[in-house]
Amino acid sequence: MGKLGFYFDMEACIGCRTCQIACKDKNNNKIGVLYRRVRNFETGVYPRPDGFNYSSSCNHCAEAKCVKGCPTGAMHYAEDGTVQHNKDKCIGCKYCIWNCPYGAPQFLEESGIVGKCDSCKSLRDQGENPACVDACIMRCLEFGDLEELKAKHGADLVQELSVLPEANLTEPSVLIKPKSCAMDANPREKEV
Amino acid sequence: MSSLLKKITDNKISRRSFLKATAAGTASLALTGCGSGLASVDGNINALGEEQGEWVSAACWHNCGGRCLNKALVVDGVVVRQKTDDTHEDSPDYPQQRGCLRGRSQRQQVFGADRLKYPMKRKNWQPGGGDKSLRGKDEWERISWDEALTYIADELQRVKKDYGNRSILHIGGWSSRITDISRTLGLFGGYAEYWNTNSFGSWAMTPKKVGFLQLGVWDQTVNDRFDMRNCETVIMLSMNPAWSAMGSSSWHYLQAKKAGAKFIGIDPFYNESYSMLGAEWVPVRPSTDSALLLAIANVLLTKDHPTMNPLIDWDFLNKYCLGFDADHMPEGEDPKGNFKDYVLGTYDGVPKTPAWASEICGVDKVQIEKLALEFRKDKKVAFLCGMASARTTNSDNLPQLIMTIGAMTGHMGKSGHMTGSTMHATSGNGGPALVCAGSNGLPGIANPVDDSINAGEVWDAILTGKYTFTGSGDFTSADQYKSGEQRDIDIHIIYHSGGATLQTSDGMTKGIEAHRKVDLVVSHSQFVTTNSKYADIVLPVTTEWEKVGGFSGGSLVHSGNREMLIMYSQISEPLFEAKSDQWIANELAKKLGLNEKEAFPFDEKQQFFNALASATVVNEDGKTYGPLVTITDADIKELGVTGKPQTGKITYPELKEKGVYQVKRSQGDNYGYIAYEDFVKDPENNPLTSESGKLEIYSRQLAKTVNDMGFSKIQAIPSYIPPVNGYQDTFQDWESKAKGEYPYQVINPHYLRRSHTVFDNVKWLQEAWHNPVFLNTKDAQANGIGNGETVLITSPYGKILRNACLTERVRPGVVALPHGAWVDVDEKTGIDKGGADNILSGQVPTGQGVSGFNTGIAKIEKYSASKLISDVEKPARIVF
Amino acid sequence: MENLSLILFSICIQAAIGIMIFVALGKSLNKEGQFKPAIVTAAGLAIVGLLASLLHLGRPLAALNSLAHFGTSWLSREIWFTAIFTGLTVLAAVLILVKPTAKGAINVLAPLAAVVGLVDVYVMASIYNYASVPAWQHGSIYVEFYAAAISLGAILFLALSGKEAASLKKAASLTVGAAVALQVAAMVLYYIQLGTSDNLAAGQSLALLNSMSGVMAMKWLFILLGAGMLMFPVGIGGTKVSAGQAAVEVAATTEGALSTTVYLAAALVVVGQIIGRYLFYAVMVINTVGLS
Ligand SMILES: Nc1nc2c(c(=O)[nH]1)N[C@H]1C(S)=C(S)[C@@H](COP(=O)(O)OP(=O)(O)OC[C@H]3O[C@@H](n4cnc5c(=O)[nH]c(N)nc54)[C@H](O)[C@@H]3O)O[C@H]1N2
Ligand SMILES: Nc1nc2c(c(=O)[nH]1)N[C@H]1C(S)=C(S)[C@@H](COP(=O)(O)OP(=O)(O)OC[C@H]3O[C@@H](n4cnc5c(=O)[nH]c(N)nc54)[C@H](O)[C@@H]3O)O[C@H]1N2
Ligand code: SF4
Ligand code: SF4
Ligand code: SF4
Ligand code: SF4
Ligand code: SF4
Ligand SMILES: [Mo]
Repeated sequence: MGKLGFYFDMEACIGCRTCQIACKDKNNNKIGVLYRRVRNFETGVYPRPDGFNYSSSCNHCAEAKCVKGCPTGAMHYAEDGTVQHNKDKCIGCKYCIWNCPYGAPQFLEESGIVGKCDSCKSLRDQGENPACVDACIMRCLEFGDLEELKAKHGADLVQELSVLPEANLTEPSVLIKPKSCAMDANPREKEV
Repeated sequence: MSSLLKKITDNKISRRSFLKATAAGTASLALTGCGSGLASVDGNINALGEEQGEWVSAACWHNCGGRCLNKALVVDGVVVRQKTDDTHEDSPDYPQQRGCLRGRSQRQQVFGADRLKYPMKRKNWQPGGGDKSLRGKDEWERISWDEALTYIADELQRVKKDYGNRSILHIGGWSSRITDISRTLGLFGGYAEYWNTNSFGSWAMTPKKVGFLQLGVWDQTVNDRFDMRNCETVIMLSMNPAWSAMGSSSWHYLQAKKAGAKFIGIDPFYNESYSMLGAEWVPVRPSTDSALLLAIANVLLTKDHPTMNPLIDWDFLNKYCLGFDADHMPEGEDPKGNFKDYVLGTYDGVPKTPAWASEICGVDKVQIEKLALEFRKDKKVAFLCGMASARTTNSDNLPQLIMTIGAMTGHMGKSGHMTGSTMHATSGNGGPALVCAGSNGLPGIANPVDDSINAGEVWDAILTGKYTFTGSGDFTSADQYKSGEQRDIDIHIIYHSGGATLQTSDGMTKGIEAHRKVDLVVSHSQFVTTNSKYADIVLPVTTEWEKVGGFSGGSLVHSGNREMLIMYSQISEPLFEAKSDQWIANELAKKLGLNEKEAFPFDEKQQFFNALASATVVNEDGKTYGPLVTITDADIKELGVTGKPQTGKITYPELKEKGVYQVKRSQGDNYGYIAYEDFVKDPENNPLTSESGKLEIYSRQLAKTVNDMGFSKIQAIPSYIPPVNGYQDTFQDWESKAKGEYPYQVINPHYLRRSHTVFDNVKWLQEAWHNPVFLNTKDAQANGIGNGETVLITSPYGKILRNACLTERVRPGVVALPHGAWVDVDEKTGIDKGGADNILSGQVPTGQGVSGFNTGIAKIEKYSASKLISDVEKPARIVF
Repeated sequence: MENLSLILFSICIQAAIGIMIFVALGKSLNKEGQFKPAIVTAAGLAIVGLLASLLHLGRPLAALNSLAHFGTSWLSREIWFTAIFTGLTVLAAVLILVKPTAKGAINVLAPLAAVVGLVDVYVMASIYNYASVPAWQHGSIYVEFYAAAISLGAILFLALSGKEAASLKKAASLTVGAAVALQVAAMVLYYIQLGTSDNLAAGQSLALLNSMSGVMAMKWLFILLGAGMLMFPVGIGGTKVSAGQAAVEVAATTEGALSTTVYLAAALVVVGQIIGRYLFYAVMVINTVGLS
């Protein structure tokens, strides 16, 4: 099996945040802690504005800076290639938070350690999909073998957007079907 | 990892630790008796739950724009997680009924730390009212159920004796007649009713009069979702399914896009729906659609050529419509009064040209001409309209005008062609319900009092003692829309048994004043909602999760899509001292010395069973219907009800386990639907609801009914009537175009953080959606307002604060304020920090008694006094 | 202030390292020199620094886990080097205090500690340079850290044990000046890169920096003033001598006594570097979706 990761169909995404809430529910996260987060961006000017949404979580990168930088090995690669976090090893030094260019790891005040998207491994181990994937109202999200996802969703998939860091930093395991306006030079993030 | 899970799953875990589990994430309640376990847990509680718990179909019962299957993972009596429909493979043709962010936060609401736990009384309330001015500011005292019900019963008796039943205003939200307490109050001698056009605006009455309904409802004036894929052009007017029709609607529209349809959005707000569909934007001003559509009619008439440029379907007009031109006027009406000559300006000298309309609606005249040509008869066009544009003052002719444009271009009654209203849970999917909900079998109880006060007058009526009686406001009632009659009324009790009316009705500032005038305000609720905040006695009610179970969907108009029926089960015991509305209605009946057996002949279990047994489903032929559920003696015994066994399409245990019955649909099946097909095939034998049975572009009945009601005057043909508090009113002088004190127009998009007011107290959702006010960037800058800065919005009726989101997606001159935020008045400044839309709206009934929620004017300025903290940082309203 | 522990940690360790470097130099020039105050202070600072680093952790008790990934993690390496440096320095200090006769051992330990320390400073800088914080991804932070170590070390060394290494006085004073000069140069380049970057996180850091220009000014005022007092002649009892030489003469004459000027200079540089370190952490903006 090849590298596992997420597919995101930006063209269909309506920015509803159902995925974000499904994730919150699955992980019982406190306010301020988001393993999946949806952001809204705007491009163009009246009367021809446009916009796109980006739903992001941990990208389970092939060259994960969080793993490389972690002094304890709490951040590690699971046998299936996803990036997992070991609560028992973590000392809460926050270095992964500094290192991840996607803002994925989150500090959990109550336990003094970090947490992040675990690709819903516990569900996948039971043959289910990640919570966010099965929640999406527009069926924009998928998780699986990146090669198979490429084959299924065609060539025009990208790993970089003007709002994302260069992919070569961490080799994120994510395939995005972008809206053309998401390639614009400088989109404006909107708090809706 | 998995071994770690195994370890935890092996040792039986205590109820307590699960209480902690549910509490983790946000402050939440534990179940009654278990104290509140506001502790956090780590360790993989979720996978753990799956091995020990049970997935139960969980109610999502709100007026939210969708209807979906939600399930709760209940372990040891406690909900640890939620999920949605996974009862079958998902596909665009046969979609899962997936829940939205709100439904998936339901456990946060039901078990929220701000749930009301006990009956409460306002400290300074006494029989007769006490210090009434303290409503909304007073302290709460916990009282017993017996005390609460005794207070209420005694006041009802006193007020009835001194002033009569008319002085009891019972408000049940949608209709005063639908809540359980209406039965008790009916037996008690009746109550004054409240009515509101709510969702429908002028679609409430107009369609019936002009023949723009199918099978008596709005949802069926457009074809079904499969046929939408046959359209070449989809023209949307005031629609935002992405926010207002959660569930699969937006996905259905996406299928039409994938099938090649081109989309156009006529709206002051380039919303998520339009941007997802890549729609071309026609940035119309709020409440000016009539002007725009009249100009479109004008272009169609002037540019039409039978061979060179066939735009108008004359055969359709001549055969199916009344009043389009002088040759097709109703008997005895002046031929000069026809629509065509009004549009061309033949007699009034004002041709309704794009130039004429542009000054009003703000759309460039060249774009209006282009848009008109998109309607051309030789293309497959869907003209789909939400009702937001009709939630405006003086819009009584708008639905008729929409119908007229559709009729002119012949986009009715054929595959790939449609014209009509589509919104809410049925958005983009017309047709009769394929699965039909049953009835609980409770016999109706009449309301002996006939008084019914329109939302646009209700608070004034309490304050001034006068109102306009126009018949019943209940949509199911035959005697609606009577000739107006000025009546005196002397309200002493406001009884809120449902709905969030003080919050969602026009003119909240006056509403609060009215609440501070009466002797007693009672409110049933689950939280300190606005109704309860300003009440004297608050009764904590259970949520659907704490009831015996029930059904949602199985009927149209705000209840669900046509293809499925959801059955939900009880999730939890009632929290703390919360009781069901029906229990309260029963107990109050006893206190009032009424026979409660008359109020409720049988219990909620039996009501559930009756609904179960009487639910029906369409047969394969797509026409006839049969029983839905197979019920055995064993089932009847298990439920402990009386009834007969029956055979249907699904057994009771399976329905309970699945939680939903959905008709499997596929392209070309027997369940497709084309609106007006029968009428177009054979108009004589399939007359419409209008006086003539035709599509009435000239409607005597519409004009007469509205004009007799007496709120304002309209014509029999669609005409542009400047709205009250509309664009013109943003000027002090229209001719010289000098701007007035309130230079901006306000609209209230329905917002994804909540369902109206419901869910707005859920922190997860407050974190996800910030509820800013959306301002056009240039407007904001012109007023020195920066992105994220706090804005003071002032209308002729009130002041609110919100933080600004500067956007290019709202047309200049428009302030888009999300609908439904809980009011939070700062008693010192009188300014609402919650951003409640109805603080800005007034009591201005027009036409058929429409609430003009989307016709408002205001000024905006930077608020320097202090920055508004984000809603998620505000403390929850926890009383005890 | 969330970064207090990090400021305390990095300043203390770097100061200790700096001191040990000059102790080592001092010893190479003056075999008889003990440099007791310097070594003991360095040991003290190292211990304080190490303890402060624990305060930054969410789970201090599990701190030892951090030794596990020397091979890949700069942070792990930092803990190693800091621990070893501290060990060596503390050992040296203990020997001086309880067994001053063990000169040989101390003479080996001091340079060893200095070398480990020099590497440690590089590792420390690398931690930040590797992070996804554009404001830290610049060579200047290596200069910042080394400059801090050298200047703090030199000036504290002078203040504490200057009298034992007369011949080092001038050199020490000059290195402070040189280090500070380098620091200034690096800062200029740093500003240019931050200003020209089109990364939004970098932009936000720059904005933060500008919003704290007052603090920034203080940093340089203190550092330059402190360095200046060492470098350039200042009046002491009428005779014009550089503070450094002053230290020598005064030390030579009045036993143990030291010019207040040196203390003042030391205080100024220390405060300046602390303010600088505060700014360093204050401008941290991590790269993320929407900020790239
Ligand atoms: N300014 C402005 N105003 C508007 C609109 C707008 O666009 N702009 N939209 C209008 C529209 S379309 C509509 S439909 C209306 C909706 O107006 P409402 O129906 O008043 O709004 P909801 O928030 O749905 O009210 C439902 C209430 O019932 C309570 N509730 C839930 N379950 C139970 C129960 O079991 N028992 C009892 N007793 N109460 C329960 C909820 O807590 C909530 O307070 O608002 C209208 N108001
Ligand atoms: N998330 C969420 N969904 C809901 C609800 C909710 O409260 N929250 N409420 C439900 C209920 S009860 C109802 S009735 C429906 C309402 O559903 P809709 O009526 O579809 O919702 P709105 O957001 O009121 O309006 C839709 C669009 O109409 C535009 N609009 C407003 N005024 C005008 C106008 O004068 N002219 C034109 N051309 N466009 C205009 C708005 O900018 C918006 O883009 O939503 C349902 N769904
Ligand atoms: S649930 Fe789907 S559509 Fe909604 S925000 Fe997430 S990805 Fe986008
Ligand atoms: S996204 Fe961030 S946290 Fe996730 S693997 Fe990549 S670097 Fe690590
Ligand atoms: S916080 Fe935990 S996971 Fe992150 S780097 Fe430190 S030890 Fe590793
Ligand atoms: S995979 Fe699971 S943890 Fe990751 S974002 Fe989706 S729901 Fe959250
Ligand atoms: S759309 Fe309505 S019914 Fe469906 S999940 Fe959301 S709130 Fe519940
Ligand atoms: Mo509605």
